[in-house]
Amino acid sequence: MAHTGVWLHRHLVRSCGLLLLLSVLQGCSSQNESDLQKSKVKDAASIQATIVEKSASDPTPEEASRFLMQATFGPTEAEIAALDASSMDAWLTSQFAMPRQSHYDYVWNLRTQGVNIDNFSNTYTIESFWKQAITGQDQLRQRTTWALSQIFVVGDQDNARNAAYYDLLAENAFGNYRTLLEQVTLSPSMGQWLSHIGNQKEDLATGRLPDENYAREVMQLFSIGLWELNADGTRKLNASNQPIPTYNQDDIRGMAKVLTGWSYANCNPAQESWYCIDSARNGYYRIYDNVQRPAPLPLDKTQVYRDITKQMTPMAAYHSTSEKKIIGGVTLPAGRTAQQDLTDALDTLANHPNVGPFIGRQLIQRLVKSNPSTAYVGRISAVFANNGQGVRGDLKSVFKAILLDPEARDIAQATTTTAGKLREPVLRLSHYLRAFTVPNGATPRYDINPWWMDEVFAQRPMSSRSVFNFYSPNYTPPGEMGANNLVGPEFQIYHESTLVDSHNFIEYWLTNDPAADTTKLPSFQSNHSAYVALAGNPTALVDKLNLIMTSNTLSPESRTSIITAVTNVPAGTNQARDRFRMAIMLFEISPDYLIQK
Amino acid sequence: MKSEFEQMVQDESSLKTRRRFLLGAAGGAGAAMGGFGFSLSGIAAAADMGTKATTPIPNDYRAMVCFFLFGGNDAANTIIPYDQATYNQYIVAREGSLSRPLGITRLRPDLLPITAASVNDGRQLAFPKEMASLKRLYDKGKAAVMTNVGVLSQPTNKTQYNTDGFELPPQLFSHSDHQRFWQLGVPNYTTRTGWAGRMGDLLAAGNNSNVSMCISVAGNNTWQVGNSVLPYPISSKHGAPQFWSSWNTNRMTAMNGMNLQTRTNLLEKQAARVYNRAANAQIDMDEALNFSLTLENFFPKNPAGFNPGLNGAYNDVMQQFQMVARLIAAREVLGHKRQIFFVSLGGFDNHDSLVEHGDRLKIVADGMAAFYQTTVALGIDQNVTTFTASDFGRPLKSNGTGADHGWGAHHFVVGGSVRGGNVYGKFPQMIINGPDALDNQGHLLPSTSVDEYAATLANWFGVSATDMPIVIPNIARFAQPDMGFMTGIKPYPRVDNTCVSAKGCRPIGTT
Repeated sequence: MAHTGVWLHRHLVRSCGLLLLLSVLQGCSSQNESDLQKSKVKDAASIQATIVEKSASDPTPEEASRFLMQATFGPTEAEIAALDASSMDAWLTSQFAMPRQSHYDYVWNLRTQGVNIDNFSNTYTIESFWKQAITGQDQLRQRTTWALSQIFVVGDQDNARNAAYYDLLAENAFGNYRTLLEQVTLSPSMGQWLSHIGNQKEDLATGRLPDENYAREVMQLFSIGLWELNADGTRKLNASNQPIPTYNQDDIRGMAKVLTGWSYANCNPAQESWYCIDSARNGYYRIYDNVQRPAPLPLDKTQVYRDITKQMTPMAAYHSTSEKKIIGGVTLPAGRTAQQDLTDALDTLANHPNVGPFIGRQLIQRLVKSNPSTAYVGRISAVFANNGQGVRGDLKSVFKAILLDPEARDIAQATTTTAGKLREPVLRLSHYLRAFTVPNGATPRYDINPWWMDEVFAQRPMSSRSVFNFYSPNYTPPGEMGANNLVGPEFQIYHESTLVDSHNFIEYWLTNDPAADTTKLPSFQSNHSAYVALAGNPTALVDKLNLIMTSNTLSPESRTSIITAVTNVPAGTNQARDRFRMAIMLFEISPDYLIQK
Repeated sequence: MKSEFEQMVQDESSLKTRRRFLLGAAGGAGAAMGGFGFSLSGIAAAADMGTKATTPIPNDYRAMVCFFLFGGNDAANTIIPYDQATYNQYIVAREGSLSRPLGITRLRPDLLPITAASVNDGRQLAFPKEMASLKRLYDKGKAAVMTNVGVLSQPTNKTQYNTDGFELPPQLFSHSDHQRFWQLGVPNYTTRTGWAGRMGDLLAAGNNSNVSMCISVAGNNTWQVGNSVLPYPISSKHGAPQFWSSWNTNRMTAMNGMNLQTRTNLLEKQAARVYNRAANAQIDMDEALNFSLTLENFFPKNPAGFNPGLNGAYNDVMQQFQMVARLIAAREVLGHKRQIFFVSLGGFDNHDSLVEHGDRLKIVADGMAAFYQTTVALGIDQNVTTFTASDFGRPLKSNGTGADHGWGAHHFVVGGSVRGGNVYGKFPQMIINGPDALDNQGHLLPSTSVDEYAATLANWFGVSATDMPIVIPNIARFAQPDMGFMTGIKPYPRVDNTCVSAKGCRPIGTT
């Protein structure tokens, strides 16, 4: 409550600033001298920068809530208060320094306790995902890794592979894009998913050609995209006003040759490289034969050993040594090693001017908004190109720039007609669980049924059915959004069926409280007494929830609707609890909440 | 004791009450509903169409089902040459020699040869053995093969393909682009509607329903997006899911209110629209499915001797087709004279693991066959046509355990109005660098465009010839707006088949 006065003061200051900004941009001045205009525009820009700086250095509760919606798996009361008392800079600094927890260790630990994790898909890795998403202190790493996992996509493989791969993304989330790209490329998980593990050089006798799968998708999805881009993300056009493809089929064939001759880490190429390649290629593997085994072990012809979680190693005999033409007119000369070819090819991709706008726009979409302005994309591209210390591809700086950009921070941006993004189902559930529950018991499990997630969410972490993710970054809902050239990626999986199912699924967790009913699943118990205590005053309850659910952006009409319904919950033993439930479920289905602004 | 009539009136009245509160308490709320909410552009487009549309308002029933095989089905291993000379060509093209060193090709004894009057140059073709159920329908004249279809901007020969500046579809061999072009019915980036949606726009006047004629049991898609008609994605398991809270008028009033109020944020408006579309349709959908047969005995599950890793996919496809069949059975309850369905199966991106491909084709064949048999049992087989689509085919040449992204591909059309037992189009020469292959990788240049394939289906569905360019914008560029694989339709309803009970019907797979 003590904040209200402070907030009002800040809010007024901000509004004045914006009014001034608007009047300058509209050219209200009668003096048209260009120098004066320039200086005024500069003033406006600096005023806006001041606003953003103020918001970042001394956030209001709603600014804190809004920031945490973009940077975490969902704000909690405690974190809003902590950030409110601190600054976004300090928060980011502390988050960047937090140690990473290993998903691989989690599933391996289960295995040592006798849990059979070998015969399942990635069930236990997803359990680990939820554990970290819901309870991890390193929320920024959690959220940014989740964003990266929707660009560098692998599907459901098995617990070890998925856990190791997700660890790889998390490890590099605050690292360098070029390193990330190479580690993704040489991950046996990705190798199996896009079939470049065991990929062999061309065979002149049979005419067999190298597998083009990864060669194509690493360009289309992981680095440069299909079309030449300007730094602001718009497409470059040729002399006939047509967009320009970034590569052609010949470039793909060249890149496919680059990506030959890689197999599992502990295969012994000196002895039996044919086994390493052939068994990898054909998928004859025994997943757990070799997990955490000290290398090297002797090769056993009946049981091919390999390490399915370590970076792939080159098998020289299977690498194409012919000349390779790749994008941008680059030619890799004949006769070089797999590693040399890979290094040059990935350098070429990572240095392509498309990467900043192509990857940067998608990261903005995952964290902040579906339709960033070209200027916003341009600013992120610039940071990608140079973090200020001459380093290209510094993801830590990129994420920081995305989150501290005026378009992300100026709270006036939350009320534009194109603001925000649809919260994807995983974020809705994580937000609910973080804000209103605590894990149950001494050794809590996070057993959110992954098959239900498939069915009711159309979204299960690490389980997209194709490398094209759960949704396309360019998905355009038909109708008004399309007519306004807006994309809404998450709308691709939010439709008449999933909207109802996912709403019911949230309600399942809301009403499924093991603390109140011992027959229920022992996953999460409610932690909402502070809200239930307000149930006697529906207006106070809804206003308190408003901060954590929508950063106080609930429209007056929606607020009235929710307060009325909460008030109308009939008296009875559980009235207070039911009023809380009513309020939560109405927030959940309100467009005000569904669109994270 | 109430009379049956009184009970009916009461049920009807309570249904209306329920519907009214779901749709929002205010009278006339329907006009603000999502189904119409964005239709300023839709109405404009329909009005625009009205001035030139000549497609008659349907007075009979027809349904079209697209079975999309995501990933790019390896057509070269789907319809396979059988006569020894051409079979040898196939082996050499894919494997490099007759010795079959790479093992991505099918052994000749594993093939089921078919007859095809149109292939009269001495070649004989075959289905893989896993497609036996579909082959039986082919033999009975209920299934046809359309060969070497693909996305094209205009008729294209090999010389033209290699000519700079000759208009080709952009981003050839890319999954996302080919999928989109197939569904748009035109290879460009400016069109936002799919060819099924545009058919829907032309034919919607025949329907009287809160439920869109375009129903998907496989999620959102572009194919079913029209200017006013939109895809209605439902669950293949339980149709239109209901809010657990639908009994709670207090809560539903607030939910409806928040989704009907005026908003300015375009994403919020879209979220509200989806909610309102769901609320608008779910009662009628629920009612229709309650009325409809369950039909579960028509759709096999967990077939014997099948790859257990694909049982889930098998059962899922059966479930999708079962739901489609149930909605066809409920067409009159839904008020539908035209229905368009979207069904899908993924996993066809066989850069590797082509050894599993046969099992996946069994899912395709059994799904289409079981569905066809069900339409026979419902007496509606003449009125329902199912066809396959896919991103693209795959080139002839192996990469060791599979093949990469290609272009032309073979597809299946099944139904009582299909002129089946024949192969349409020009079956390609399976020769690397041959007349139909673009390069040493064996990318097949399509000899029939998606436009021609789609226009043939649209013609059967009732789109007039003069309206065909609305549905297939480039159709005038191509030689054959009708490939001839569809016949006219016989009078509906048929009376010669009363098999509406699973008990009285032959099991699937017998002839």
